[in-house]
Amino acid sequence: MSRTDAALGVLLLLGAASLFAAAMRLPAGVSSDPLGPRGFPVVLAAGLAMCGVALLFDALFVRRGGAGGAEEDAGAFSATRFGGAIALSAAYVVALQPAGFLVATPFYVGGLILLQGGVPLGRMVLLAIGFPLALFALFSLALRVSIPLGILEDVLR
Amino acid sequence: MLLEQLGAGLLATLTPAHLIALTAGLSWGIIGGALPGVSGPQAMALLLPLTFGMDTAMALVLLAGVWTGANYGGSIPAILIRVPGTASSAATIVDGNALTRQGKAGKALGVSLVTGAIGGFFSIVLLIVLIVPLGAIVLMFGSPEVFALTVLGLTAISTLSGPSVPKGIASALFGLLLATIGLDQITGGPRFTFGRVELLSGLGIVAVMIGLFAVSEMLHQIAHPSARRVQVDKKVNTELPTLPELRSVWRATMIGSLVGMIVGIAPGAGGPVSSFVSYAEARRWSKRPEEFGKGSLEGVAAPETASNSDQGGALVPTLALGIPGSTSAAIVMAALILHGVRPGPFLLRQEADLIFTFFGALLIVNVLLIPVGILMLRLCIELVSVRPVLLATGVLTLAMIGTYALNLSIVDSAVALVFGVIGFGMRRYGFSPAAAVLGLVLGFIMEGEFRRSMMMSLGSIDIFFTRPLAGVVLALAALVLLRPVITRVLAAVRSAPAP
Repeated sequence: MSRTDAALGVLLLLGAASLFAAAMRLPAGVSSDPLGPRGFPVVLAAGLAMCGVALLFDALFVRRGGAGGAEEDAGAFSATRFGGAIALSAAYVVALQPAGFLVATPFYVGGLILLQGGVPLGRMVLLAIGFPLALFALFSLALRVSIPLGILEDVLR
Repeated sequence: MLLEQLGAGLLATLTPAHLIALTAGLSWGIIGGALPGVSGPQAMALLLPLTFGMDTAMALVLLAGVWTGANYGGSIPAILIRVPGTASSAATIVDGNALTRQGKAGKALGVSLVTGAIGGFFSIVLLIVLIVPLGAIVLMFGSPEVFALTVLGLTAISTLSGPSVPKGIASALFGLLLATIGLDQITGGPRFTFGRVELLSGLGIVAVMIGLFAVSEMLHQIAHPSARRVQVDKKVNTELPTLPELRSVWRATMIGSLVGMIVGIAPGAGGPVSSFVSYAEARRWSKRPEEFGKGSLEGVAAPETASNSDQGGALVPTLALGIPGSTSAAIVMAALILHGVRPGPFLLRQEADLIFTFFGALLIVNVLLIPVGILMLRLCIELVSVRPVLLATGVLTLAMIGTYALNLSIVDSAVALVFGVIGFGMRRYGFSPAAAVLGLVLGFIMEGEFRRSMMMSLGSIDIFFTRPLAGVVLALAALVLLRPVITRVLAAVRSAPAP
């Protein structure tokens, strides 16, 4: 029995049930539109439920071992690096507008390089400054795409 | 009429601005394809935000370049270091890398470049020839038929996207669910917006795509550190094949062109499928099959031609029927949506000038591929050796700021990040981000045609079975869905002991 697939099957069933409940709160169909806003999400919920049942059946009676189709040769997983990358990216998204691209991005780039390691400090600083500058030139000057200036707005406008 | 439209399309592409965009896209595509961990669809998706300020024709020209470039770019690391730059270049590794070990890397790259260009050019010519009669057939389609086609397309992609069919279909259904977020397309009421104003116009397709493809891949690379340092012979130069060498691979090239085109037409079955099938067929029909696997030029020509020829095949259902034939084709559809052009079965009639400019770009880019491919090799060799830490950092930063640039809103960057995490989880547990993206792209059409069909039939589902074309297409979709079960049953019956 594949425990992972069994758990995923149960998750799909729970998801389908939640979707069905949420869809039933939407307006029902009328004579000119028999399905209404509710119809398609209900059909999707039914489909997800069937997939959950199929996955459970596969896991309980057919498949042995790990999750079917999952990446098996990915190598060791580092939760610190994964969590760190997400936290850094979330902080970058929040800081982007108030601080501005030219202030927030060097910290983001430097933080990601530090998180992954293996790059000498001098080169890291060079990349953390140079790469954002190159991207700024590409977006603002070459492609004329607006980039948030944040605290440097008065200086650069 | 067709020649006139094509002539106009070619002339439109030959303007300086479009030629620059085409060359820039081609160069970026070659780089993207060459970088392990960045696929053709990712390279295209990352560029989508940058096309926002362009007119639609230029955006399509740019994407034509990226798509074509990525096909060749993926074969560079496949040939030089046995690492496929893109999924479809995996079949090139066998003979391509064997040639490298014999000191003939330049020849392998040259054959890959020239035969790839031939395959791509051939498939676009065939696409143009096929698309007009198909466009006439499409006039017979109503809402039930279009709905049935979307079901067939999604079913095919879901069942071919991985070894687990329920997970593939669940992924596609997830994508369809994402497409329901926002204002209902018929009543205009909000659905699944949780009271957020930002979600009233739905989830940004581009932000979701970048999240599911590029951000998830980079999170994967960061979370699975590799000590791999790649050593590449930096003295390699492209050696174009001589005429006798081209003659020696003509059969493999023709097989690759046809196989790529045919396989590409089937939604979901492109890329690696066409490359491997083409390799197997080329070996079967070769006068020197014993050379395959040991550095055969035919063993390079066949998969490379197929992976480029698959482009034209994938565009047949995309442009004629509004069903993306591959992930890259889905990104082209997303670009059209981004520029306010609603893709669907009538796109060819409604936007003929735009589509023929796209055809012109696809023809010209396969000619440009050879000189640009030769010039880009040196840079690609340097980039193939780039450390994963720098690649992941660069792509993540580009993804975050690129999605911001779509609507000058951090909501899009947040969406990309959230879907990056979702995409990471999907890959980890065997689900298919590609099927989810296709569900998202097709969701608007699918629901709209389904509801319109039900309006026509006053709520009766019989309409899908009383209209012959819709019924046949839905039956085909059911067959595709049940194929794994049928195969398993047949295998069990065959292996059962005789009474």
